[in-house]
Amino acid sequence: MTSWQSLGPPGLGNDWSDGYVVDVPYTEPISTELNPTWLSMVLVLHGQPPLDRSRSLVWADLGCGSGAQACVVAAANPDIEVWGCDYNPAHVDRAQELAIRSGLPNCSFSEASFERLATDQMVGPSEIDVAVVYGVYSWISEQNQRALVSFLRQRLRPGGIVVVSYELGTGWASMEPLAELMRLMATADGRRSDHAFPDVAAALTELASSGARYFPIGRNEERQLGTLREADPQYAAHEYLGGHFRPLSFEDVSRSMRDARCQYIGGINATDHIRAYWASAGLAELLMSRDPMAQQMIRDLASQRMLRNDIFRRGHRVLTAGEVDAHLDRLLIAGLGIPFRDEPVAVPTGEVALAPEQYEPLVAEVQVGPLGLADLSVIHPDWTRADCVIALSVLAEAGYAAPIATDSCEEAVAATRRLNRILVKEAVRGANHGALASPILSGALFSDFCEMLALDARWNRAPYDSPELLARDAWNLLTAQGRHVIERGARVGDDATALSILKERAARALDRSRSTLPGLSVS
Amino acid sequence: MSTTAQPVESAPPYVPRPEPTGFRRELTPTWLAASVLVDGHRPPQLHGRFHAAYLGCTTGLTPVVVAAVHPEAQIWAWDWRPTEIRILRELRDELGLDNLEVHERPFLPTMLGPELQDLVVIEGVVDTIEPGLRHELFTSLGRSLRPGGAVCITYRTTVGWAEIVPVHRLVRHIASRGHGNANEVATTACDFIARLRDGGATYLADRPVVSAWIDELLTKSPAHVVHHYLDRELRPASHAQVAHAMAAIGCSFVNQADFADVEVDLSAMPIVRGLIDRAATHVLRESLKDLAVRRATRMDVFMLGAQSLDEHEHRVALSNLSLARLDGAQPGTNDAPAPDRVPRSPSELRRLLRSGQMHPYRMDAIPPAVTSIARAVDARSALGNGLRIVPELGTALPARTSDPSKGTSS
Repeated sequence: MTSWQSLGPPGLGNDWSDGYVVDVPYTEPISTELNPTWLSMVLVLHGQPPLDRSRSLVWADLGCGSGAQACVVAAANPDIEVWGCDYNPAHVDRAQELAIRSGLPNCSFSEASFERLATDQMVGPSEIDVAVVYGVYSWISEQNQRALVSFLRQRLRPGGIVVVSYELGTGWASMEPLAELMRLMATADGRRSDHAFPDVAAALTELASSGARYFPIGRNEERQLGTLREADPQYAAHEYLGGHFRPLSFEDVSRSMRDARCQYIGGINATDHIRAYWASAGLAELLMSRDPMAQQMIRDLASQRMLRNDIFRRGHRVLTAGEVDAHLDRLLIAGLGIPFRDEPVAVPTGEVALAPEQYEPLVAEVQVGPLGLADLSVIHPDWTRADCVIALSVLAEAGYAAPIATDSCEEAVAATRRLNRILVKEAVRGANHGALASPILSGALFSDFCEMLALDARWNRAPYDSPELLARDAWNLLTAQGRHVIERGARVGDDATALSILKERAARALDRSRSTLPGLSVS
Repeated sequence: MSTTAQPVESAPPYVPRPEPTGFRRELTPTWLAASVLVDGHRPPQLHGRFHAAYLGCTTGLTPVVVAAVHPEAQIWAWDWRPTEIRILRELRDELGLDNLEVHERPFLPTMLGPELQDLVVIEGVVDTIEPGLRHELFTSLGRSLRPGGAVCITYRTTVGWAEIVPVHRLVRHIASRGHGNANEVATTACDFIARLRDGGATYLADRPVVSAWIDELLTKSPAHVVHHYLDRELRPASHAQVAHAMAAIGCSFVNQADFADVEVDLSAMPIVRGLIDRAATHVLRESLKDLAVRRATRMDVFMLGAQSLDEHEHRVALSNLSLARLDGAQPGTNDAPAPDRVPRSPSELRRLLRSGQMHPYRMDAIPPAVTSIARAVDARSALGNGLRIVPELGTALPARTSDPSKGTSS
């Protein structure tokens, strides 16, 4: 049974594609929110038991793309059995190669559609503890969504979680017809998706300023439209040209997950448990007077939210306050080498300002060594425990710190080192990697091109000692590879600004390489 | 980059409105055949003993009128909602329309009606029903259409309605949790949405389309809200989606039954015109036009085996097309056609037909039984809304409309 049939992907010879972009591989995004320590922290903050690390967990990355995320989790957690699957054989080929080259015996991949997963018990693990559905659910057909849910219903273990990200109508609604137009134009163009995309983006930009009555569109969509011409075509082809793309709602996804016997736990963001951040004062009373489903729908409408990253659990076991406290008392966060910036922090429904007199000392202190709630209350003795929990959450959300594993092993250190050397070498040669693996974080750590170039030099040549030199080499390499400096998701147009940004990044890279990265066992 | 450029002509605030649920002249066989012809295609054969299916019959007026003015035709009707089916059945029985068969099941049969259909009209269905039923619909349609047959599909577009969907979902959810009768929960839900907007929910306040729709909603009666929004899902579709689904069953796009392109004035949009001129496919052209005018609803006609007329054939066919004036400027009688010999281009015809100034005459002779049926219908005021049957035009018109005067299109 199908819904609206796929309009067909761009490119030639892709009749098997079922509407998905397969003529060019997807980029290899890696998210720090999928670190097992992060997930455990968020689960506890939502009043739920953390992941049970007393036994070997089974981790399934459903629609794993090129497998980088799965490999990072596998490398940092040798006790987790990681399995990824993807419909695109090019992705699976790459994923398998990365796992083999990195020497990850606990990581395997399958080429399979969701329909096959739902019907073929021989594919994939028989029981799953953590299912990751990232960058997938809004891009697959309703038929495949149902198959995915059926698979989860069959394989997810009681107590297991599903982490699902999806694009929302509240931030994407007016992009829907435009994405379809782009797809039609790219199909008519006939070239490979990433080659056709720049011309398609140019035509759309032209249309937006043509007086066509469809415009103006929503502010988020307008921002999206504004970055199209500078977007990485490889990424953008997958983002916009898939034949099944459809923004969803919380109601859609939570109903589907209910069919998999899963219940909504909360967002994956560290601050999602803080209800004061859910809505403005004018809406708080209206929001809180409603049922949980309505609350989430209202939150999304209130902020024109574009993306949700939700956690659902099969078996909603609520911890007592005492159990939550016990877990939080054991929680430690480590600094990520980012100095304090007097800027608001983005939370799912807007921004919150951080008082410098409160947060600057915390950020400075967490770079020195891991902090727990007790440490926070020493730094700010006037704070309540609840204040400390909020501050810890905010530090994590802002990217200053992340929860750490207290029991990482030598095997994890060796595996992440092997994987990182490959990722760094690929990045220097032109791959768009944005993260490395850390056994201490039990997963990913954001890392930029300058930092990877510095690590490559340290591991293979003479280390850099001058940020200027590092920035210059980074600039030369990027230019030679036809790449650009990206700042806040957009390409930096003029060379002087780009160089200046690179110098800042180079200084931070060298700074991090002295203490933060060794401390996190990245180098 | 700014996308805030305004058209030269200042556009009024855009408000997507629900499709009308009463009788629609554009969905009669007479109008549809004429519209296909005006747009340069050989029309489907919709006279004598033809077969037509009406899906999503709502108040049932359209299939009732069609059955009344085409007594030799077999009309088959279905709606997925039981209330609509009951209304239609009662109307049919009251009027004694033996040629109207009502399919009284919530699911669709393998075939739409007992015979292959010459015409299938799908009104307000594909943008409402859940995907599984929609799939059944297109499968049944593919089995049921006679070669040369036409399909007219009306639907709310993603261009017009995608932004409304998240709000509509919340309205329905709030209503589903409300207490009281349907009208009361509708009122509660609408009030709540207004309070959310006033409270600063940016999706509701910042988007002109959404805000205008909420304003419109607040002016409507609770019964209107229930009928148009609470009882129906909102799953807007695009022309590309519908055309693709129709292509899968062998049908190609012919035209828009309501001549909606008359409203597309691209003179102030040279960039859009350039993109449309360069568009490689009709789907791309239609998609661009929808964006150009922010078209909220479509009334697409497809045919199984469409044949384009060449220029000569088109000119001859148009010269034989009889038209009636409805504007009252030249009152006449059916027996004495007005001597209107003004040559008209297809574009002028489209404009006159869309504006309601003219209506096509039926292309076949009026069966003798029609007059008595029409009298019976009118005598009972069965159509409501002041409508009366006009057999010569194969339609119903508001009672205030002057009798049609006849002209030709040349």
